[in-house]
Amino acid sequence: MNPEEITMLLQKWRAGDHEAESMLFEALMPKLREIASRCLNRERRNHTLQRTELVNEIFFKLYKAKSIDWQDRGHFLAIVTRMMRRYLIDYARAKPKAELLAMDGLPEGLMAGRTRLDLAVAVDEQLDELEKEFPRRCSVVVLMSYLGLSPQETAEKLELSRRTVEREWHEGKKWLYERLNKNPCKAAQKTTSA
Amino acid sequence: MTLAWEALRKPATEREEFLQGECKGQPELFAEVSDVVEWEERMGDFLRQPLITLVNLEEPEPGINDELFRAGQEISGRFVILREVGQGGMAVVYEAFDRKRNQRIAIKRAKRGFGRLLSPELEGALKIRHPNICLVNDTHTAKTDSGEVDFLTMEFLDGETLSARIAREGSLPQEEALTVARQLCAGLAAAHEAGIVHRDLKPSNVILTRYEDGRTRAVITDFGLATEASLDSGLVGGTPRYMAPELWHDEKPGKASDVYALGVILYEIVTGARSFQTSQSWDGKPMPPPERPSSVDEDLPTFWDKVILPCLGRIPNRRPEAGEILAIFDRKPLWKSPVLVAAAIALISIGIVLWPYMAAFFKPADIRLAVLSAPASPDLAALEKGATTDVVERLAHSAKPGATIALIPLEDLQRQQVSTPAAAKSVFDATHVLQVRLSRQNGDLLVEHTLFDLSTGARLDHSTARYGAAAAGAIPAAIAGAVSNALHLRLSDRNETISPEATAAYDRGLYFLNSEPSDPKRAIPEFNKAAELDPKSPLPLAGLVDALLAQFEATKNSEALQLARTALVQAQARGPASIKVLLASGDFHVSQGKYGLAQQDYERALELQPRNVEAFLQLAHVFDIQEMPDRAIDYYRKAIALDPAYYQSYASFGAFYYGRGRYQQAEEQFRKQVQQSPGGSDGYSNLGGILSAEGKYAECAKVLEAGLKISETPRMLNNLGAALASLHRDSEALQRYRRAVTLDPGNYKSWLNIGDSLRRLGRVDEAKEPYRKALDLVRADMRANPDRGQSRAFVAYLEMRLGEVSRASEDMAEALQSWPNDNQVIFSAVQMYEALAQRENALNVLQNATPGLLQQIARHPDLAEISRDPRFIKIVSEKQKGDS
Repeated sequence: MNPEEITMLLQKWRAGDHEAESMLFEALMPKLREIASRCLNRERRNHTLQRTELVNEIFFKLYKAKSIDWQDRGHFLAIVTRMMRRYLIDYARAKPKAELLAMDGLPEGLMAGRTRLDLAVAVDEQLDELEKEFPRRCSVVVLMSYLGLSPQETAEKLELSRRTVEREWHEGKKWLYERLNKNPCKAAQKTTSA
Repeated sequence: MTLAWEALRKPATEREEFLQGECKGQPELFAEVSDVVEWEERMGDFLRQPLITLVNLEEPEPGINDELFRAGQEISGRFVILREVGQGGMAVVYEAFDRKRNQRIAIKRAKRGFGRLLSPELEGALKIRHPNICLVNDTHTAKTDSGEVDFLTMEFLDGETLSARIAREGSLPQEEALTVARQLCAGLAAAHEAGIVHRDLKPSNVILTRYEDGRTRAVITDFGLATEASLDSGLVGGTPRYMAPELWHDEKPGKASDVYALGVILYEIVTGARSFQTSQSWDGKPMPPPERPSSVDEDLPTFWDKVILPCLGRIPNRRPEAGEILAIFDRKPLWKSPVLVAAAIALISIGIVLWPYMAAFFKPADIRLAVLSAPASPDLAALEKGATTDVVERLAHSAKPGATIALIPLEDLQRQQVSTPAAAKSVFDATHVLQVRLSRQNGDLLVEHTLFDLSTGARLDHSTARYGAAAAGAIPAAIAGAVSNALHLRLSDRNETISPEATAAYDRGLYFLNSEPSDPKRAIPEFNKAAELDPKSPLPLAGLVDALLAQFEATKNSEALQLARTALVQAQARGPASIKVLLASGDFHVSQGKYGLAQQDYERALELQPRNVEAFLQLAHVFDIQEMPDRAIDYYRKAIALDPAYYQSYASFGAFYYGRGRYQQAEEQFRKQVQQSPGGSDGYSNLGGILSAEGKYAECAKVLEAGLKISETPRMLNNLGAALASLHRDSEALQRYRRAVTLDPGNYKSWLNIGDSLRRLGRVDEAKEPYRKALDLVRADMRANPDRGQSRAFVAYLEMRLGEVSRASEDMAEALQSWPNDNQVIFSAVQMYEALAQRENALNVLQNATPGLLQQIARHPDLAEISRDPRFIKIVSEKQKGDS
């Protein structure tokens, strides 16, 4: 797919065309997978470094592709973070053993019989909603929660002030927390049907 | 917000108190921050950790596998593990002691899941022996409690990785950078020669260690360890920064992608910059080419741009080969065009010759050579036998286009007791015999060799050479080289090497020669030192020849020429069939005006390396000098066809056309030069020069401005000034000329130009001083180069401007008498006669002008009047008729 076609799809997607979104994903996803598997699987000793590098790569490659008309940064971030999310969820689904981290310290209500993967998927579902309302907030949450970037790194990546990132992070978390706690069953159902 | 995070960092019990203190008198702020804190407390660790942890599932959890080898453990009854040195993506490295060989070694063991550590590539890598490639001794399999484990034993390299070094200290100091860069090229070239591709070259795969004498040694590790399987799965393959563009498109790694990675590494070595971005953007569009290293660090010689940028080219087959990059380090400056082309560092294209091995199976050899030796004394027998064995070995690896060659084994000759040419012919049907004879004289070795053609009885080659005891090692190469020359054989390149001891000095010599071709003072002692440290290699001596020739060029001191001759003779004794020696010999002969001999040298070089672009260009130049323009054009075209991406060919070809007044063709070539080398200023300089000659001043000014952004040279500044002056913008021109004299106060043309511009601006008195300076400088130049016509003409012109009219007239008359066809002389003469209002004289001189020169005169700001004279117009139209 050439840059002009991608630009056209982006415009359609912005106007709410769902067909365009799936076509965009189809066009861009293989590249993202390639970048991700390259970055994430290399030297596995420092995950933070890998994650930072992954984000660098993706941002660099996508955003710096000048011939694609991204219109504005928010527009661009929305699609990239959504793709990253999709990729990571697919990854986690394909490799359930991937969740090796302990789950200590999470509020009881949130887990509600869910595995960590369930929780991730549930958060992901909710993020779709968050993105519609607050795209920037959604980007902050994705970078920090999925990719583990620090507030400072997130601020640099999104060209926001650290202060804004902290506020958006707080608000985004709160928004998700409330939703997940309010309706844990619904989220769980969505997970199984997904 | 910040306040909230600060509060959260405090113990829960102190938070409220803290916030009340901070928000005193601001109840709204307190409420807002408290809310945030409260929510954060409630959410606890929600989303605090990454939601999904990406780990590689193929890899077992750390700890399990690491237990396999422990310090103190003995493996395979021979290797004692001393300590773990480090871990990579798929292997663990240990320092160990090899009891059998009684030496310290390194052991590399595959991590579990990477059993295919031992790949076919690796088998090849095991065979490479090169000081800049980590020596792998062997592959082993150890039995452990957890089953069998593959491991490699390698030389132990006590040092740090290049990546650690750069991370710690940034760029390497120039000399070290040069040494490391050359060594990496040498290592990679050796591997590629052997058909081994590294595939994952990066600074963490380069170890900086030291030779025993303390000099830096750069060693590439992990050759062939990136296996097919691991690359396909994306597990270890390629670090984005070092990945060539084509690898992003799923192409297989090859030599060219190694070269790309090498380019990135060199970039990092010299700039220390990690700003280097990956090569490819998302949608397959290339990223803009990287910044020139010399623009990242102003102190860097542009030499590095020329080495590094071609490696980073997008098109794999346009990247130089590792051997070619090595050749740049080993390069000398190309010939200097008297008119236009600044000496530039050139890439040499080294072609790979496919030897007609197959043919040898199907027909008897055309050449059957017997090597016979006859020691003069028993104590020399061992040496002589060793030397002849070596000669046979060398020649056995040679070939001849369209013919086959066989060496009659020494053992066979011995067994049959063959000791004479006649016996060799009757017993073994030999076609040729080489007789070698060693003797001693005053502690030196005298080596006599004679080559006979048995079919005609002719003596094809004969010489006696004297070697000091220390230089005895050079004998086999010298004899084999001489024989291969006489029989027109293609010798394998094993004489084109230099010992590790001499490498550093040699590197420095080349570097100095390349970076300051017009001032080889610093290069000469380095080459001498290298020649001393490696008494076998012809390379330092070939370099010395070029440095001395450059010195002769610069100083016209005949002593330099004498030394060059001596060095050349020594170089030929060491390696008569060395490409570099042949080229140096050609250059030497050119400097002597012996063009026929030079032609032979270059042609011989082409026989050995049929794709040597430099030899083609030098030959073209020689044909040019010998007034064979058609052959010259033919050779320039061949050079371009061989490597269309090589800018120097266009530069040379353009200079050729310029010299012959064919400006349009020259312009075309220089445009191509700029196209191929947009990061180098030479192309702009040349193009600007030709545009100026064609009177396209506005475009010329634009081109030169572009070139000056890359690097400021007096020549471009002067040319730009001249273009501006022609556009009647003398005050702007003046600025450029003044800048030129700040850069090079010894350039008389700049001073002359300043004088002319001041005069045209009506500041006649001010003009006197620069004219005077120019005159002093040009007189000095005339004394140094009495055979340069333009100097005398300039002297005359300047004398005239300074009011010494009668002296000026005499000098100009002399110049015109001695050099009646020299364009610069004619030009200065016309300028002078016009200034003196001697139109007749001016018109008279113009009879010898070329059409191009007439056009230049017509456009010159001082010569507008004569160009309107009907007689001038008549000369122009006659010349044009004559020309067409």
